[in-house]
Amino acid sequence: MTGFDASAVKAILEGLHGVAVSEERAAAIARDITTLARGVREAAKRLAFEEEPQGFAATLAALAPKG
Amino acid sequence: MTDAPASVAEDGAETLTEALDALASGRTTAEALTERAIARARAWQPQINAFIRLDAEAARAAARFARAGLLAGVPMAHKDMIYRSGRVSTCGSTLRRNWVAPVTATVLARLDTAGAIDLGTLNMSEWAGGATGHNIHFGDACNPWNPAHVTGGSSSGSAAAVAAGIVFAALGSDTGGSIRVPAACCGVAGLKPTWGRISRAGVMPRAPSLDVIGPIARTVEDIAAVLAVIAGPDPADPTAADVPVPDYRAAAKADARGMTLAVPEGWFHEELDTSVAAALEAARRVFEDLGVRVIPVSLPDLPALFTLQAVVTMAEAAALHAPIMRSYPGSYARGLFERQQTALAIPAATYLDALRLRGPMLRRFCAAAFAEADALLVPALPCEVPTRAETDVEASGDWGAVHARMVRNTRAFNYLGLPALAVPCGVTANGLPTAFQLAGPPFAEASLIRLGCAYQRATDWHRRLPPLPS
Repeated sequence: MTGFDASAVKAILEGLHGVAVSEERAAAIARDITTLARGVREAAKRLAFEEEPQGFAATLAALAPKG
Repeated sequence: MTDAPASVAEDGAETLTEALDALASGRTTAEALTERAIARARAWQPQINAFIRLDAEAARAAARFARAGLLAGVPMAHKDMIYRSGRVSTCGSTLRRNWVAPVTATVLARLDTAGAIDLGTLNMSEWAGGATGHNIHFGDACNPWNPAHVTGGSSSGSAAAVAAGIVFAALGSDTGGSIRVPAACCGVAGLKPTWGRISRAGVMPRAPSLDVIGPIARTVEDIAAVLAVIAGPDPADPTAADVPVPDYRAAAKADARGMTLAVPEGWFHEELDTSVAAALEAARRVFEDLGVRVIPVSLPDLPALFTLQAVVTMAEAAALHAPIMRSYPGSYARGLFERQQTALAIPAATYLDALRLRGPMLRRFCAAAFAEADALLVPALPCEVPTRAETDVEASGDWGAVHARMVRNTRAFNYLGLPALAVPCGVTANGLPTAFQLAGPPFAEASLIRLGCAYQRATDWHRRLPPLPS
């Protein structure tokens, strides 16, 4: 499987966000993003389809000490 | 156990609690404490660069009328991203050199109502985006124990000003360790509260899903006194939780006997410097002597939590900063710009999965960590406090490695939203302070305060003061 590459990074940063990036930096960013995204993908294997990002605050409150 | 304090005030008030006692007994006045704070700020500033703005006349005026409230007459100062209406708030960047805040933060309004004196704004990492305290715009804040060393960041001036004995407490913010890291580096206490415990209305955002505001002070008892004033729901901040606020000051007086601390294996000990490990072991023995049960625990997911926190912080900060990065790319320190540049390429699905994982990860972590224990005992920093030169990423370029080491032990608690308290527990081989961290279940700040105060009643690391510059 191929990783995220420098040309994709340049297209996103310069084409979509309007932020200039050198070829060398784009290659480094591609490596970093690949590592981060794969780390999240691995962690997300256990994630239930129904889990919502907005549920976190309620989870915190539910775990608060009682009484 | 420790060296005698190098400089002590004539009124004996070196902590916030002592200052309140001295004020109540008539041994001092708000005006006298404020004059002392102004004099110390001016004496220390050339060495530690803690202040961005010292509002001496405003503080004097406030001191003249400070007569009522839980913190009446207590000089404080705050990180320069906590807004006061009509005052410049630089957020650590010269881009905001003349930016006047349109609102007053809820936390400052609550401190005002409690009678605290606001001495001015404190140095910080640029846009709260660094863990060392370097700042290319306003100069680095420097560690009062040795100005060649970092203060830690991003609440660099807050920790330095408290450690130097200028102010009795200061507010900071914490997204990945920005209260606890500088507190640990400077030898003071710092609380990252539960996400939602304290209003963030009127405070510069860094990564709103993770950001919290919290106090830095000489003692945990002082932390409790400030927390009692600023905690609780706020109509101006919908994320401020409607969870009852316990009596933190009562918790500070309580015995810790019968409580249980869990010491995790693995992650927190994998990159630990020897002298940090020795200080942590000594702290563990103090807790055991206090009648606290100490047990081992195995925690899930720590490497993943480290990555997930990074994804959320980076993506949210990049979204906030993208317009500035387009218009003023040269206004950032290189390291911060590059980190935010990276974050612009994080896929939306990756970011959203990192958010969706928070609830399940929190349930899983709490089930493992707090099934038998009231709190975790872990090192705040894995390493000795480094020098400013060796962590100057503008010179060395290794931003990621420096930052990752400084926040290795703090980030997970931001991702999980859990409260964590840094408490000084010794001096390492290089003569700089070190600290442990107590982390608890959501909204269990009172348990952390109870444990931290019991530890400080048995030790005197918190009594040390660096010598006032001549």
